[in-house]
Amino acid sequence: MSETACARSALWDPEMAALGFRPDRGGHGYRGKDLLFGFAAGWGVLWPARTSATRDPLYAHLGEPGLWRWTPAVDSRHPCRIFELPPVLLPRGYANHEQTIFQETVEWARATRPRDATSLDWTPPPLEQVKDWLPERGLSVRAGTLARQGTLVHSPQRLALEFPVVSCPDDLPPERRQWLRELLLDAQMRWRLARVGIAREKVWAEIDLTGAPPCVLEPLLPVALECVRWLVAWVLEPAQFLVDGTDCRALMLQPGRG
Amino acid sequence: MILNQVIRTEASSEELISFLATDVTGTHELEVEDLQRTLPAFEVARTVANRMSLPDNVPWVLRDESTSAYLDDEAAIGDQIAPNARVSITPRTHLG
Repeated sequence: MSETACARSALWDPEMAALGFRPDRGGHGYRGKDLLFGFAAGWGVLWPARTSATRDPLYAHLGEPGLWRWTPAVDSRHPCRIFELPPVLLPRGYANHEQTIFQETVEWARATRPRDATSLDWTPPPLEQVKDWLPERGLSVRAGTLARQGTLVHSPQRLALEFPVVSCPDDLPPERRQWLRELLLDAQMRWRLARVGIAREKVWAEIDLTGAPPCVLEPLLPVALECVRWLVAWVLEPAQFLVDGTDCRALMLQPGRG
Repeated sequence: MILNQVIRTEASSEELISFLATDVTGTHELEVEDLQRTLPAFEVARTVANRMSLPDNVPWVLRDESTSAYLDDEAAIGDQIAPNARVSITPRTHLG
């Protein structure tokens, strides 16, 4: 877990029971059949009850359906795969539509947990409707002298927001590659919801919304876009510095993890 | 609102464009080779202005020197200029 998710609230017990979760005796919030659910800084977090084989956070999750993402653990234990629910998806009261959104989100998390998009019985909402949910100029990110244009991926099999960050050629010097890795792992830990990873010799930031029900998509999409924009804006300049060959002897030092 | 590249192909979102940018006074000249073709012109203008250390608080607009046409802020830069075009960056003014 990127941060300790814990705490249950007795007010949530009936809601969670309806989804098959009971208070966890280990203090992790709530336990379902094979998932744990807790709260962290106002967000909901789902994570597996059993740790699966460790995957490299930077190579394991790009392109996978849903919000599941690998995060490096703060305590240096194995990376953990989590599904985060921003406050906009958590019921604040007893309104039926809020409870429906929360329930549908949890079901979406369950359906996308196996990482197999072809098994999803889902089609995306019409493109025009999705575009209406995005804020104007939302797909552009600028950081200083750099700018990146994201893409709304809309196909029968996938709905996602993707941003290219920097090139990561195979011949990048090892010390720069190590620093880049540390930077990206820090970004992955620091920023919620979005994934960052390396594929096709490039660093990408993305949020995958494949499988999300429309009632979840409408409130989630603006939040998701901001999350990935913040990650891109934060990581872009230092990442570009690391890959563009600017001479810097300090990069010969090994990055340390505090 | 115009969204660029709503149907992604692997090449299109990553393709870069090259152009030469100058400011309206001719003081700054900048060769740009690292921006995506899909970036909207308003974002390209702000980025170029930043690289030229021009003020942040001015609404900048790009103009294609070959046609004298101002670029559409919301449209992709790659859809509006040819490769290696010359563009100038100028403050947006409202005339009349």
